[in-house]
Amino acid sequence: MNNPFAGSDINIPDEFREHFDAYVQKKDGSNARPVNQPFARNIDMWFFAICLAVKKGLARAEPSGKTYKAAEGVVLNSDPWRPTAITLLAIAETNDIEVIDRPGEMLRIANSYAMAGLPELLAILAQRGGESTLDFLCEEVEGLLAKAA
Amino acid sequence: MRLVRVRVDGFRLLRDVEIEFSLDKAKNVTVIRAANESGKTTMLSALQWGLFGEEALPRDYAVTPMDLDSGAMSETTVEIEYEVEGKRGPARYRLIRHVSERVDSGSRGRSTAHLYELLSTGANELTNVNAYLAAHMPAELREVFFTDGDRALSFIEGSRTEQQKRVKLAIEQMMGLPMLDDAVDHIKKVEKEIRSRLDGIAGSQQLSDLRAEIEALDVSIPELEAKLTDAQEQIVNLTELHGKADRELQEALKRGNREEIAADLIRVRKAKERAESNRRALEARQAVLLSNKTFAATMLSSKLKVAGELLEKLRKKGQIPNKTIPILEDRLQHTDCICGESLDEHTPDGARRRGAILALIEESRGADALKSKVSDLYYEGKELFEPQRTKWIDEYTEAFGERDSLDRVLADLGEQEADLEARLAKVKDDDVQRAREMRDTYAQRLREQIELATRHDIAIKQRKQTRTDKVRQFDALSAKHEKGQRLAAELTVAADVKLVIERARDVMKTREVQAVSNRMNQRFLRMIGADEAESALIRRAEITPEFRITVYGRNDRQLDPSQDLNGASRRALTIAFVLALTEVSGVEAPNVIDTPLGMMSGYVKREVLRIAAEDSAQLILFLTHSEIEGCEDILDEKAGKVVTLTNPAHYPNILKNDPGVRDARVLLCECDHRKECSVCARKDGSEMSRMAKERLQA
Repeated sequence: MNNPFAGSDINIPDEFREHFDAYVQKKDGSNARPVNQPFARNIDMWFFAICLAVKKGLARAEPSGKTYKAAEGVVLNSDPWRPTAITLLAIAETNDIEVIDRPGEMLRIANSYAMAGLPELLAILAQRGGESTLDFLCEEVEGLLAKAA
Repeated sequence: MRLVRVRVDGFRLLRDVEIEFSLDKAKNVTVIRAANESGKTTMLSALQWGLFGEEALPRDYAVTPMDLDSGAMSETTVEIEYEVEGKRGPARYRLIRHVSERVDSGSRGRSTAHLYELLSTGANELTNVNAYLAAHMPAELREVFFTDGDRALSFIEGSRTEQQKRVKLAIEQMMGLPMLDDAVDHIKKVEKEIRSRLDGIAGSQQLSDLRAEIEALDVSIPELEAKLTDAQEQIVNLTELHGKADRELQEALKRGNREEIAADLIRVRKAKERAESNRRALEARQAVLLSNKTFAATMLSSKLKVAGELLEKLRKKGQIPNKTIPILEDRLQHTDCICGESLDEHTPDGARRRGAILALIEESRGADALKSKVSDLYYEGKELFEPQRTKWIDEYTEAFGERDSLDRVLADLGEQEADLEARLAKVKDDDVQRAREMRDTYAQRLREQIELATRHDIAIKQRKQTRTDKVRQFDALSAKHEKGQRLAAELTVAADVKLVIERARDVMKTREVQAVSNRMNQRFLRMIGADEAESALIRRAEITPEFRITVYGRNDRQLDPSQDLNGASRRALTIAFVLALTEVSGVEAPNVIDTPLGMMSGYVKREVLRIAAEDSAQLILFLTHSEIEGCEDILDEKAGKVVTLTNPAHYPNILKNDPGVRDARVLLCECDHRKECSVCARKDGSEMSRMAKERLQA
């Protein structure tokens, strides 16, 4: 399916900017390593936050305060399953199949999960101590899945 | 010989000091107790100077009192009274050695010695003092009977050649072997004289030529023997050096060749770089696990499932068309269906089936745009909301396992790199090459010396054979002359006597060395408590036929005494050797030993003292207070005389009381090993420690 979010932007509160800078590999960041910066792009961290919030059953939250454009919707083209996942998430959330004709609402639903998941993600990372970001996150995910199973 | 008393005056720190020695056979030990710098070694030197003269002292040793002004005249006297066992009982002698010299004159004065035989009627001065002294106490025995704990160690320390030389010399002199050598030389001279006389009587040119040849051989054979001995010593020395160089080479080889290590280091670093690169790739691969489709499908499964069920319902209601249009259209290009039936439009059935397919295509095209979107979503979303074929946890486990393996590889490479860097730092540029050159040089020199020794050995044998032949010819020729027959008989007697002495000397060399070796072994094992203990690390000690003192551990493994024995055992071994030597020699003389128990403690110290006392005819020991500590009961039993020497300069640091003496000399008191008086009383350890601290603070 075509990316219905190609013309949209993903805006998140400015307070998360430094955290995105810390955990996302920048193109010019020569010292960046996947163990410390496990997310290749902002969109990956944003999507991880959505996944985390859904898995943990967190209540959606709306962005508040000053926001900035963390990503453009067009980047979702690179992983075509992501627009599909966002659409399915919106259908599940609204129980309305026609929501697929309302990309703005679908993106807002996804972003509200991201807003719930980002603080949780940062709280997890704050506990990693001396362990690498990648390993700590993987262990957390492993724990979450084990608990769910 | 037994020492009765000594009086020393004007000898460095010793001024009018007189000591009596124990003559009691049951308590044969005399102890001169003295702290360091209190005259022990000076008294040992004075005794040796008194008995043997200047030759007993080191070249630059000054006997003058230490505080005399430069240019002042010094008078030094040592009087030694001793007794020697004779046929009619002990004879007593007094030896007085004296020297006058100017302090700092740069040259030591020549001493004069006077010897008196002490008779009941008075003192009878003897002429030819040196001849008497040589008979009473041969100078060559001095270093065995007068020694100190450190000097005795030279029998087992230093280069192997030196050790062997010293042990050989000590044994040969103690056994009187030089005397036998002198006897052989003397008989050779006699033989020469007889042949000369024979030559003169016979007037035969042939006899004269034979005599000259024999005399030339008598000169050349000892020369060759000396060269052979020298070559043999070189062989021993070079064997040792070669062994050492070879060990160094092996060590250098173990450390490795620099180029090889450097190449290994480059190889390891490249492997490490590759592994690092792989690790980054694996890390990236693992990071992808946090943002890939499997992860999303797993994490969002609860919501995706709901959406999936909704879509499934729609599909079941027929609101999601099958994606069959392209397939159906494709099939219409063929004459048969995928089910195998004919789609040939020229046949009735085929035409009917084609019509049905066209109707289906038309029905599908009739779905509206929403349905199209939903349809796309259903088919594209199935991979998300249907159960996942690949589990995220499996992907993670695999990625983690690969990273873990690579981490171990990296750790191993890191260790290899560190090891190689350390080895590289230790290896000098030319380490292996230099060690190899050294070893090869010694090996070459060793081969040369072995060849030389072989040549000398062959030449000696040939010349000895030639000499035997010439002597036989000489004897046969001389026997033809009537006047020469008697001289020829004398010559035969001289040759026989020489042969007997030479054989006796050879037997003594082997038999007596074995006897000394056995006695040394018994004493040594007793001293260190290894004679009965089955668990002992040291099993035996011996003097090898090459005159080397060596020890053996468990499984008869040969040990190097200078390296494998502790300080106490090394001293015990050398004292055991000295005692064994004096016993086997049969020479009765006092064993005078300075600080024999240094570095010893406990069992070994007590046993060394006990055995030395039991096995000496007369034992004179110079002991420090700490050497005496723990051995008081043995001295109670064995010491017939004990005196104490005190250096007044030790007040106030060591001595309790001010002796009131300011000039440089030691004081003698009669305090034994358990007593102290106002002169010799010492401060205890804590008091000395407190004073040292106060000095530091000041």
